Amino acid sequence: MNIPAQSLINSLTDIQSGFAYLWPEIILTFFFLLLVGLDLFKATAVKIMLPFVALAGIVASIMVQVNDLNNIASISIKHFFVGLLISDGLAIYAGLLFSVAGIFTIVLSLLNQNLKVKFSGRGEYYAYLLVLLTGLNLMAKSVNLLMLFVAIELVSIASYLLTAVIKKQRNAMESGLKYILYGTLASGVMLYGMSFLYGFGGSLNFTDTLFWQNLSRLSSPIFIAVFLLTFAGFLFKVAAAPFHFWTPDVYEGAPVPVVAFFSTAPKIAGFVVIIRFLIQIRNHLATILQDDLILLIGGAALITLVIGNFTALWQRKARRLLAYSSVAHAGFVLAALAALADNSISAILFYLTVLLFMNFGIFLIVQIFEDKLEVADLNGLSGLGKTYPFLGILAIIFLISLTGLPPTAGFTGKLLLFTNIWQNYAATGNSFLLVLLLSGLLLTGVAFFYYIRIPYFLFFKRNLSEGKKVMLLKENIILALLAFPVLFIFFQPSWLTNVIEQVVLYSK
Amino acid sequence: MTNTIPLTLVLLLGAVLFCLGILAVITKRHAIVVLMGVELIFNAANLNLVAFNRQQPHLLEGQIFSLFVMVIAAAEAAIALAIVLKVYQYFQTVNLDQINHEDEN
Repeated sequence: MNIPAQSLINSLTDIQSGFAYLWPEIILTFFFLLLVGLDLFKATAVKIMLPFVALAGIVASIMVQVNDLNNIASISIKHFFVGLLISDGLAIYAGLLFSVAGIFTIVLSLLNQNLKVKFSGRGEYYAYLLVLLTGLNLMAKSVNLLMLFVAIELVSIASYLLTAVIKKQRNAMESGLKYILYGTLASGVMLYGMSFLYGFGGSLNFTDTLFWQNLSRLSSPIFIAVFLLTFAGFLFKVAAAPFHFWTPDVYEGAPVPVVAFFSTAPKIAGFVVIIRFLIQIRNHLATILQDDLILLIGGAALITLVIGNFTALWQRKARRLLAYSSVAHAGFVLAALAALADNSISAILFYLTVLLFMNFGIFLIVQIFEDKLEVADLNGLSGLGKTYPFLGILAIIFLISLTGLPPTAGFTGKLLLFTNIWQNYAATGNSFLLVLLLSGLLLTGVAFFYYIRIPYFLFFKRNLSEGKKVMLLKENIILALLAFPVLFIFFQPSWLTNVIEQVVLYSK
Repeated sequence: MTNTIPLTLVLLLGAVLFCLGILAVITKRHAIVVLMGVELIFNAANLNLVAFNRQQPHLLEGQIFSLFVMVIAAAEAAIALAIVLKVYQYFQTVNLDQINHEDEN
């Protein structure tokens, strides 16, 4: 047999064996096609079934991911699909978080009155969600620039569609247009950066040692410029400054379940990609280039923290406040990433896991306020905590957790992040890390002021509206389910840290 | 192949395209013109990818990448135009300044 034929057969067997690590994506894609097919039927019985079909798809993928997590030692760390993708602890754990976020999004959508009334083509909404999840899973697994670009674009396109999915609503159209214009610009800039990474690195695979050896020959300003361009796309995905402008508009216009999803899952995926790059940079590049990068990412973290926290102070609408709070959270994670240390990963994964529960919790409360009580401004919340004590108390729990105060998991998360930054400062003596730590601590104090305004309005202002509406039992149960981990993880952090330790151990 | 265009010239052309794209995005207020600016940026990246591919002619990674970029850019443009159309039906304009409602930053 001649050599080209042999190498072709080798690649084909490699691709075939790779399918074993791709089950979550295969399942999600299958259910996506199923949803698109089912959506063609006009019968109401089929239409009502659609969200549950999507739910079944995500549950099936969760089962695979949990199984993978249990057998993590045998599964990771494996490259597959001719080196395009990797299966490791980080990817599996992130995939699990995406699926959990997907389930919460569907549950929130089922409870959302606005979606039910204004949204006729229900099937496509859930179909986009499944595509989005597929893209996120691929994003977390990519180790190749081409694969990464395709995955990020899959996520972006599905996100644009989800934002503008409710027609005939002024905010939704406006935010959809802004999102797609900012989004394509960010991916264009990222692509331009990637083209230089490919050109100077001589390969598309960014876990390749040769790739980084080639890059390390670059002079510092060119290197920084190339990374600045590439990271523009990633920072856009995690909503970090100076690429955060889309956040308030999209958070205001998109349906609440979609916003809750945007504030968690794509952010997690973006951070996984950044982590993958930073691990390689730490392992392969000279310290002088590393110091430049610390300054670059630390600078982005500092701007993000300041802009996110201070702008949130002036917001009068709950959604815009939470948008800037989400920017601020991205800043805290970036600050921990700036140290480029291996031990930051577990602290960051812990923080992102907690963020998932508290963000979905607070957005469910926002959704209840908007749907049932038609309140979008903070002023409108006046006295509602006294009328609906259960809702008010849970809102306080989630907000305390978002601020980072005990007794909630948000406190544990921030504590882990800040101790991690301190340890890295002590180890390296880089005074910029100390600046980051101090500003992080100070801005947590600022964050307290804008978060506390919601409970202040809820409990200490006089009630403006008369009458009381009935809260659904299922909404209360789901709120309690979301609040439980936020409290439980504070008292039993080892339950989560053990899993994360295991995950980080098998990450590349 | 002795008379090929030097790599730096192609990169320079790419950089010019990139800057023009950014300029269009920043200065123009018409949604479709902004999208055209973004397409220029994509094309600048494509030019780079194809040019850099000359370093390893046997691998074709850069050229394949540029094909993927073209397809994805087309998909993105289709969705962007659909959204622009919806915005026009609603606002009767695609001028980005007039679409902006009360901006409270």
